[in-house]
Amino acid sequence: MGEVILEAIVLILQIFIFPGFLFLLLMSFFIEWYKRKLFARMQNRVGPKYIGYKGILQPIADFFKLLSKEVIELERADNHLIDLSLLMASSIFIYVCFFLPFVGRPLISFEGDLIAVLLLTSAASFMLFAIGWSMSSPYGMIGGMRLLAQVIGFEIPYFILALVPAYITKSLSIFEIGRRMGSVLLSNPAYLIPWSISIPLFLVATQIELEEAPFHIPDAEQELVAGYFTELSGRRLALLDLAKDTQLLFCSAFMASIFFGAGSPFYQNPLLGFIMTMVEILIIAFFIVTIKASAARLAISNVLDMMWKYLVPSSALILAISLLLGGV
Amino acid sequence: MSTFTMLLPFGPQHPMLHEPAHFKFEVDGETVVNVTPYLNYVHRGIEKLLENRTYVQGLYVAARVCGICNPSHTNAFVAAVEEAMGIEPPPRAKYLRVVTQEIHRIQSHLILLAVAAEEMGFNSLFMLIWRDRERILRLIEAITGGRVMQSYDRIGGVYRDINDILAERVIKELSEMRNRVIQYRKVFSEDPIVRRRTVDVGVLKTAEMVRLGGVGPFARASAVDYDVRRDHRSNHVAYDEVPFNVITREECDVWARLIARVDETLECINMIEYALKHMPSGAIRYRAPRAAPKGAEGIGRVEAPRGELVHHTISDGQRPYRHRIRTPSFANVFPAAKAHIGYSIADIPMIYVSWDPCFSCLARVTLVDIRSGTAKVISGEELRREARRRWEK
Repeated sequence: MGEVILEAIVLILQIFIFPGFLFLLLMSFFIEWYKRKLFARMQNRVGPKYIGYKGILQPIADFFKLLSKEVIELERADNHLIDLSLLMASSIFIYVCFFLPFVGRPLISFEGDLIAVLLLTSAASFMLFAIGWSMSSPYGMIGGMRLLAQVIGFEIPYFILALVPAYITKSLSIFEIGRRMGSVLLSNPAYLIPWSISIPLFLVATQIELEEAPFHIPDAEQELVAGYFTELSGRRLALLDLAKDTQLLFCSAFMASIFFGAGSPFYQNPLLGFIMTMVEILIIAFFIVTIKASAARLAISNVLDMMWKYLVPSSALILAISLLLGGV
Repeated sequence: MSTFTMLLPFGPQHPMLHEPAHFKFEVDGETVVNVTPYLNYVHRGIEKLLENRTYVQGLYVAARVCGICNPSHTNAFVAAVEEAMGIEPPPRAKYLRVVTQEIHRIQSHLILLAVAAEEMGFNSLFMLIWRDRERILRLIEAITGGRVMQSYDRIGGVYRDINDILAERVIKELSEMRNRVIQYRKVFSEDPIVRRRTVDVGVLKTAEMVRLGGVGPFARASAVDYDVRRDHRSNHVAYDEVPFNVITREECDVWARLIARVDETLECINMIEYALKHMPSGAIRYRAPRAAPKGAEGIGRVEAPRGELVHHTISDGQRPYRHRIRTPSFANVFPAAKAHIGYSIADIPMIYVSWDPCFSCLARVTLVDIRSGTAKVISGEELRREARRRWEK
């Protein structure tokens, strides 16, 4: 009886404190600060500076300030749908982080959770589209439509590329993929070919999912003001910002776990493994920010062109190569 | 097949615009099918203000027509007034005017290139160009005494002289700037995304550009070989003594307009270096009369950074009886609106920025009844009533 209660307490702590909600929230804010600071330094700016050490608490201050501001109810828009989609989107991004091995075995893990995570993230992207669509403003509508066009295009290569490590390690569980990746690559170096080619492509697909430059087309400021979130204010905007931060955290951590086996040599030592995971996440986020800082925005037609002509066929080719290497 | 079009308003407040203006884009999916510009959000009555002041006072009003190209406005104003008075500045002042005009062209073109980078979502390039522009502004401050706004040209000469130490500093900093601009030229001509966004976008062929009356680098990028500095020799600036090339391009697209500006910037640096090295000695200002004789007329034509700028003044003996300003942006509105049609929403900011608009200098009020084709001037109260009526509708 005592053990059951202890287990329950540990589980609750895991869900709410570490590696659950509180950790994810703080980590999202941290990664937003990291992104902003890096981006600013790359542009010869200072970036967040005043709140906390080198402005590290700035995202938290922004979040709480937005929470305290007035929410402008839109007159000719579906306010309920906007609230619902926002809640769904932000909670999905937090929920999918539960599948990721930040330290040891993740909170939720089963054979096939890779597919579940991919499905959930595309559902969240659809929720973002629904926000834009439920507005009456043309900026929101066009932003939503662009987002949908982009999502439909990038989901396919994203799925296929995520299957490459799954195939290499013969597992559909994110945790298992990460755990086996190192040993499989060492024992069978031929797999290094599809693995190494798929990393840059997966980075591009991640950039599209995050809507960062050169793919910040749905919220192209100079064209559509803020795209699908033009009319959001106060709590809604805070929630959306949180969702975007969590998305960045999720995308970097997801890539770290399926390609680099987050914390992989240190599964025996949780602390070293955790540090390793964090370092990997920050390195991937660094690459994302570098691409963001060094690229102009593509037009939507260019992106669709690129995705359907190059990204989809090449990702399919890589999957085919890894299938051949596996000897199907 | 019937098509569904949506009205996409850009303005009066929009991140794309840096000044209030309003463009209604009629879009079919992502394609622009029609554009209606609504200007006149910043009418300030500058021409009327000039009529109420003497020419010496008017100098400072003329400088405030535009924030970016105010030396061009001062220069055009001074040229018009000097023509009306029948005087000519000393040779050294003509050279000093070349230096200030061209150094302002550099900062104006750098603004445009930076804004173009920002409009295509390339914020890093925007920040870097902006940093270099700041160095040019410091040079301008050293030469003229004002960082952004100055009235350097005076009727009959210029405000202050330049010494050898300053001239050396200007030459040194500009040669560093030349390397930076060459680097930006490389970015604009080689970066694959920049090329994708600008090449073959907003094409306006030479004949169309001439028909719609575009001016400045905007027109020169459509192979219209016309530059006021070369084609209208004036007695008020030493452009006939300073050698320079007029940059024209054959591509007729947004990319050509940006590159034309980069090349013009390089040309400006050469011109300033030449002018500083060959500057004649002597006075910088002659004593000018306080007013032009009654009925005297003068036209000042200047190649502003955005194109041909004209000031036309008629004196009533004391002050201008009428002073008319025609700004290059006004000439460029119509070809620019035409350039949008057939291109996508994503191209709107790029085409918009490529003609380097400047709205607060072009606003004029004339009400035209389209149905009867008559124009009338109305009082402020009537105008307000009309505005309220349209707003409530």
